[in-house]
Amino acid sequence: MLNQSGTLETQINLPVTGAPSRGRFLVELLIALLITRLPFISVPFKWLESYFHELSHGLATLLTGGAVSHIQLFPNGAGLCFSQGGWPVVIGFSGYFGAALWGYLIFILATWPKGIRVSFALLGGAVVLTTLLWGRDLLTISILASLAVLFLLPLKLNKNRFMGSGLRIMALMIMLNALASPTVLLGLNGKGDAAMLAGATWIPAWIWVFIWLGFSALMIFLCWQRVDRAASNTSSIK
Amino acid sequence: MQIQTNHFNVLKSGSSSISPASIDAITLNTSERVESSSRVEQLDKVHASPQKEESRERAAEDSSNELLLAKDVQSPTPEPLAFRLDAKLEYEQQTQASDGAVAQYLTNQHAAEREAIQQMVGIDTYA
Repeated sequence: MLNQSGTLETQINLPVTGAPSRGRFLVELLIALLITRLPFISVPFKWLESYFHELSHGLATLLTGGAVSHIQLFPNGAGLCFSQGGWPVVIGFSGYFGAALWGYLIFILATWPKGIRVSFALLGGAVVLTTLLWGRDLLTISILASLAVLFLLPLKLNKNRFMGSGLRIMALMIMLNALASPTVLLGLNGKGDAAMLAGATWIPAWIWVFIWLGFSALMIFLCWQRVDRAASNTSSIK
Repeated sequence: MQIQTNHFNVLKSGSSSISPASIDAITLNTSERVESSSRVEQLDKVHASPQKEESRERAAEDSSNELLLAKDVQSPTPEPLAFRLDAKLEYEQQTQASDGAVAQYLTNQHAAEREAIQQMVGIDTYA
């Protein structure tokens, strides 16, 4: 009876947490790392990080009382957010910070098996809404449309397990790109969010870059911690 | 100086008995005086000539300046007038530099107001 109930509890707990095993997480992390390094396949996933980066700028602008004019995305993964008003320090900081945070949130959503379809639909809907509100030029609309397809197409799949893995890999890629992107700013003098923040706060640009790097690394570590905790709980139940 | 004194003493003495030797002495003295005076004059010339030349040059310069001033003030010749007109025309022809200076001045003149307007309606770009 106990064995039956324990097995039943285990069967119930695993789908409820939805967190992958440690080995599976490491494989997903490796796949995400490989995809971000591949020449052509990595391009749409760079757009993903760029989109969440500019979306974070836009949301920070709205939260601090400003207004967003439009966003621009470029094929090489660069992006711009044109806004009016708001608090520049918060808006400037929110780009890389927000991208890493979005990655972590998507990873958490991907460990919610029952809500996996809702998660994909919400993310796809957010991209469509962004296109309608802030997309102005053809190139940006095209990039946003491909991102919408990336989120909405998996809804055609019937297997939630693959959807969960797919979304987790996407989340990890966003976090890995958020980890790698600020390092580019170290080579840019007087350009980028770090330089803007340095001008606004007198705190050197490299300190901002290392804060973003630290935060992105922390987000990946929190993902691992969640997986590790879930694995520990599962093993203790067994 | 001593020679002159001796010479005057000889003339003022008025003695009737003037010996040839004394005449010779007088002539000698005279010649010596002449020579000495000429030497003095020569020395004066040697010593005084640079000063005199300087003073002469200064005087010449002063006179020339006065003449020029007088010419400028009283009767301006065509050259200075043309020069002045050319100078004015050159100043007016430097329009790029003057335009740049005016633009720079205007840029700084309303900087605070411009910044306030930019804060109000300007577009910020975040990469």
